Amino acid sequence: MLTDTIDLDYGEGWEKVATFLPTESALTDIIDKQEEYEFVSIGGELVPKAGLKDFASSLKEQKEQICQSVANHFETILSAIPFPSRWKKEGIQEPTEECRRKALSVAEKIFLRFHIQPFRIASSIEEGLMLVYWDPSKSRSLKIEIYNSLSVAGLINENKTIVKSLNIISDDHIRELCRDFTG
Amino acid sequence: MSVPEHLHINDREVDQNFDLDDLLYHGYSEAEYNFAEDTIRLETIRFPGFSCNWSRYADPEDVKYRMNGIDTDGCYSFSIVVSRFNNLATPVHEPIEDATYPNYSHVEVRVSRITDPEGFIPPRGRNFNNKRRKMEYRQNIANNSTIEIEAQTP
Repeated sequence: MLTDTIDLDYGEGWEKVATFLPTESALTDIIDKQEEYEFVSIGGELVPKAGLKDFASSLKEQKEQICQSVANHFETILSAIPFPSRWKKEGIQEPTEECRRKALSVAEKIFLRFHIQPFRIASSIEEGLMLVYWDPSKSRSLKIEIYNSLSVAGLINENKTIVKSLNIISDDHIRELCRDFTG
Repeated sequence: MSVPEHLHINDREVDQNFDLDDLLYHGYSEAEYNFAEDTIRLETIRFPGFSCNWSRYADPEDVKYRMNGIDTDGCYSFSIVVSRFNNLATPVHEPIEDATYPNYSHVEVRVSRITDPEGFIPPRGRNFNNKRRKMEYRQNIANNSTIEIEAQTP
């Protein structure tokens, strides 16, 4: 018997990939209240209290599988990005291995949190790599440039107008740009 | 391919008198064009040290007369005003005296500083370390460029 609906917060965007992923503390909270509830409604799905932990584990496993396949995909692309021969002749440095690893880390973090994937990953004439995200419905792009020096900068452009730009020092800056891009 | 006569130096002096509506031309390949955003790809625009031809002394098609230039290259342009975005840079006329690719119209966009006196010609090789502002500068060129000659598939 459904006695109540509990809203548990996981993080932005994951409702599209998995119905719901309760946090550890939320699960504990529900299980502690076992006397009060027989069923809980999670994302519109009725889950018996007894099976809540298994349900959460199954969703977590699905998420991990999706993340791993996306990470593998990013890694494949990043290992084989073309570098224009013209730039090589001009003495421009190719992206270093460290730069590629950092770009992979940034792309994975963005996917985990916002589940968006780059529209394009390219070598940069500034000696590094660029991740480009694109929203055609708003003619809006998010560009994140990772340099061989391992510094990172990002910019949002919409209808040929710069909306925002940041030197990316921490993950907070990545989240800020992505929230503005997806918002 | 032989360089047209109007690009040869021909004993001409350096000219730093840019008009604001003069244009700077730059060659690009088809792979450097962002069809989705209808702009030049940001990752292909360099700053500083961006080389261009000056519209006062060159035509758009002259971009192919450069080392590593090819016939299928296109040309895009942007104004002197755009090159001075946020007072971060300014064009400097620097004719190239080269036996194979002389270019009287050659301009290099260089970093300017707030402390530069009026009329100061920035030296070559000045760095610009703020990555965010660099990206903005480059994106501004991409946003405000006009395709003069469309690049073709090589």
